[in-house]
Amino acid sequence: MSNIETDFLSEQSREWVREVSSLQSRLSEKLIAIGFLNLGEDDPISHHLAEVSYAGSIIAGRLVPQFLKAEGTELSDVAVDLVEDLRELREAIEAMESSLLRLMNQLNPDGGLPRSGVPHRSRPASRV
Amino acid sequence: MNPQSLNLYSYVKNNPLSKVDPDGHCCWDYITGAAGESLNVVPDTLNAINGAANLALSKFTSYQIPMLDRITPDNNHDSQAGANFMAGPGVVAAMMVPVGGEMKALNLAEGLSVEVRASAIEKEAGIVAKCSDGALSRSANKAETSIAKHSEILRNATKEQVKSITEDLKKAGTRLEAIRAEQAKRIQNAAQ
Repeated sequence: MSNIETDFLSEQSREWVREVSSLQSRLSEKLIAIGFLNLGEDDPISHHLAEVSYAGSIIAGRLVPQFLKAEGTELSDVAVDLVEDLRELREAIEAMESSLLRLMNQLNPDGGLPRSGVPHRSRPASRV
Repeated sequence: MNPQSLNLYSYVKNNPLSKVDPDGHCCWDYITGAAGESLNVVPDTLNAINGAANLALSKFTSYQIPMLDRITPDNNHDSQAGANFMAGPGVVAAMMVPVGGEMKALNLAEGLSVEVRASAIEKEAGIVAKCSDGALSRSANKAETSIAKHSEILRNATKEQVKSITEDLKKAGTRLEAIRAEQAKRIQNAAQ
């Protein structure tokens, strides 16, 4: 039977809780400060973006280096961790995608394109 | 995925007009051991999720999500009907979706329609069916850890974050449920 006890989290899980809690609070405050969110309004971005940010750092900083070094049983554990973390990452991105698009459009009301439809950076230099 | 698992009337042998299972315990009576007990991962997981959500909700509202009863054996059902039911593909059906009244309660507790929930479980079942036994076992640990982590994070969540975190909890719960069902199915297959 499942043994779901929040009092017995491993140190790694506690670190996840600390980091994601802290980051999602700062992201919520920012989204409220820039007027994207009203106080108390549902916010699909802050939690998921915090998750993606932390999971990304764990994959790059811990799991991939572990995978390169590991052998035997440890290797199989790392492979499962990698797959599961990537899966959570994908789900988090999917869950916040439409809200991120709304945020991007709100902050770039003209779509970031000049009237010609060509992005500023790729516009060729004038020969005149 | 066995299409029979989507049959919402399996628990009354496809005859909801002449047979009823008001408490949802019929199929339970004939499942024993680890495979049978694994059915309780459904109410146990969702109760853990609902408990965490209630903790967070209590900061903002008096509304609390009701807890679900664990599924327990009940000797008052017709044993022959149950034995026939469990002998066939209904084993998988019982593990995957329709456990009578319990399933209805679960859908209500999650705020999901039967179709949406069946679709989510079917998707997860398709993934876990491709996993080796060892990977399944480790994935189950990861899903349990995910539930524990998200339950913990709900304690400090603001009102803006509760919905997203609760959705993550439900996803982890669905995943764990699918893994346990697949493990139970493999135990049943090995025993035959």
